[in-house]
Amino acid sequence: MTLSAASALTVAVYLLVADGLAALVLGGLLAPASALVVGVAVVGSWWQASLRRRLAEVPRLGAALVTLAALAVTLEVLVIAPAMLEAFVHLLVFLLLIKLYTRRTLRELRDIAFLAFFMLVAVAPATTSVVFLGILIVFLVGGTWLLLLRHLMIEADSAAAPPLRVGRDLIGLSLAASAATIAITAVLFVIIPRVGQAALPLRSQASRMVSGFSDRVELGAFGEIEADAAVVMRVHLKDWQGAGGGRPETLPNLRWRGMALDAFDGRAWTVSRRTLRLTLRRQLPVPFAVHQYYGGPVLTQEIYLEPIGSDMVFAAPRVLRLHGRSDFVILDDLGNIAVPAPSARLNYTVESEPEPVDPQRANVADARVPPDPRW
Amino acid sequence: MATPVPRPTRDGWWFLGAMICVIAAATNTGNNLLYLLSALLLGLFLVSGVLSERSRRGLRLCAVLPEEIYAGRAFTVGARLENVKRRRVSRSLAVETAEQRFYVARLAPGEARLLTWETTLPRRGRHRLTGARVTTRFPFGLVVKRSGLLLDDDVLVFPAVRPIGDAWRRRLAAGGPRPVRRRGRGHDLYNLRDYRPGDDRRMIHWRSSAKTGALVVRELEAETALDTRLVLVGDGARDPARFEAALSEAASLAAHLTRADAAVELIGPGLHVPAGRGRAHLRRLLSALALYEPAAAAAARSAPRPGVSDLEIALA
Repeated sequence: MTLSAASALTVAVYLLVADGLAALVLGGLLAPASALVVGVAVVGSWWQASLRRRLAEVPRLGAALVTLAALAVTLEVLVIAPAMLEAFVHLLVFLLLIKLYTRRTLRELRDIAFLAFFMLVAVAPATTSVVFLGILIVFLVGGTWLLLLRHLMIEADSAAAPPLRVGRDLIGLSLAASAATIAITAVLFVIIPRVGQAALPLRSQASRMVSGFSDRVELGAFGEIEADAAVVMRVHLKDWQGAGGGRPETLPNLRWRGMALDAFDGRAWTVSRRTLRLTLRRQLPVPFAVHQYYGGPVLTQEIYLEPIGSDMVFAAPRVLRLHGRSDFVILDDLGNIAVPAPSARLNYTVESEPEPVDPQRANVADARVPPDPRW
Repeated sequence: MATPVPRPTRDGWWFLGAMICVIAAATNTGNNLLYLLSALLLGLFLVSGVLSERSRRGLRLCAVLPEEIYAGRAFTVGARLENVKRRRVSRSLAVETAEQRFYVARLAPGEARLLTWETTLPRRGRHRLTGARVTTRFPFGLVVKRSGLLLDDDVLVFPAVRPIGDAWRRRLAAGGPRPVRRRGRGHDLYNLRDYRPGDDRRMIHWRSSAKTGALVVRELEAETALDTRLVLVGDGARDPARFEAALSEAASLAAHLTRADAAVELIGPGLHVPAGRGRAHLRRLLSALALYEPAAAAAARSAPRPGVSDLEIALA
């Protein structure tokens, strides 16, 4: 049994597009309603050739529509979008639709595949779901199929060869290539050197960034930061109305908390009880609401942190709100707050409630983070 | 010959650009999923390299050339592409010459494909063909892999052979056909002999056969007065264009005379090809003319044999 290569290629293209959109939905970067609208538009592009012919009958209608859409997207990117990542995602979706509706040659399918791939890239920092792996595998299989078919069809076209038919051997080859790629990817993922430290331009200072702030800290294996007199964190306190006469630095229990390590095996401290990771996504240009406010005085801290090789940010307990340039923060049930974007960790502002007015109310279950006795 | 380094195609550069971006993002953020995407792109690139190498290896490209190549006349060059692997299919191959590109979608194990194209070499002499390379962009069109230069064989190009002009025809006809004492296809009787299987029955001499009681056939005398000595005169130094034209004339005459079953001898400054006839002799003549360079030394010219006429061709 053979299949027309053109049909198989079209299926592969739409598979990749659907995969990219599914990734956006998974990462919360595309609301289900928006995804539905985009999906309808994507499905409509299946008949783009006849649609384009009809549009061509009305002079400049197509160009006007694209210009209007481009203006809308520009406005959205520059003004409306709450964060750069969202603007980037909206731009990706817009470009994808444009490409789907205007594609004429086989070469343009490359652009569609790249746009779908960058949807996955956009989602990567925003999700920890295992479903992402499934999406990745589907993308790999579809992408391999698309690249193979596209190459063969371009070559056959340029050689004026008869239309390509797809048989079992080609399908088998594509699946084998996908399987081999998955195997190699798994190996590479394990052996690829992790440059855990953030802020690429500061790589020359990498040795100073080894701070021991990781999920495993061995005794005696402290990093150079501990032996270095350089200041790695600066905190500016302001707007304190609580105890201490307006001088919060005099508070007896004031600490800046980074990561909690809860298990010690005699040699190393590790994290053993973390069972939940929660990604908070900012919907609007407002601070991240981390915990509920129980009525106590609020301590505002503006923190300047050198790159320290960890996603964790430091804050005085109990964190109410976090201001920063990141679009995401990740919380876990140990109370750790991670900010994936390295630039956002360099300077951020935290509002904390170090002394809740009513400790009884402080035990009320938080809407977002499960209660933890150690918090 | 060394195999050229694989080069990314335009799509390949896009792919590498995307990979570098993702690796930079992964390095900068330390995000595991970005590392995973980086590993995936790297893995896909590696698989592409392995598959293209499997497709390109185990191929043999041999030239199939005509026996005679004439200057200025198009000739067909053949290239026989064979997959000598036992099991693996080679896909999406191209044989690229200076002028053309031939695409072979699939070459099964042991299968061979003959690719032909026309080319023209404008000047006589020894030339090296521009050659061809086997290339592939398989499987994803990201990288183009090329073989070393193949089919760069040396070939000998004979001078251009054209129909001879009326002036030369008149000169050749002036002597008229003269029978020579050897077998041929003339009109005069050369000999009678016993019939042998395979002889043309029209040549049976019935009267003699009736007399002897056994079949007797006639053998005819060759009818040619065209046994000729081509004499190149001059050194050809003053006018290279005229020199080449003269060699072309000599080659054309040699070819014409050979077709007429004449014996042809070639003599010129620093050049002598003894008399002979037939196709093989013509090739000797044409080879000599193809490689002939003007020489200052005058030809050692002896008196022509009886029945052989001299034709002088001025080199310049």
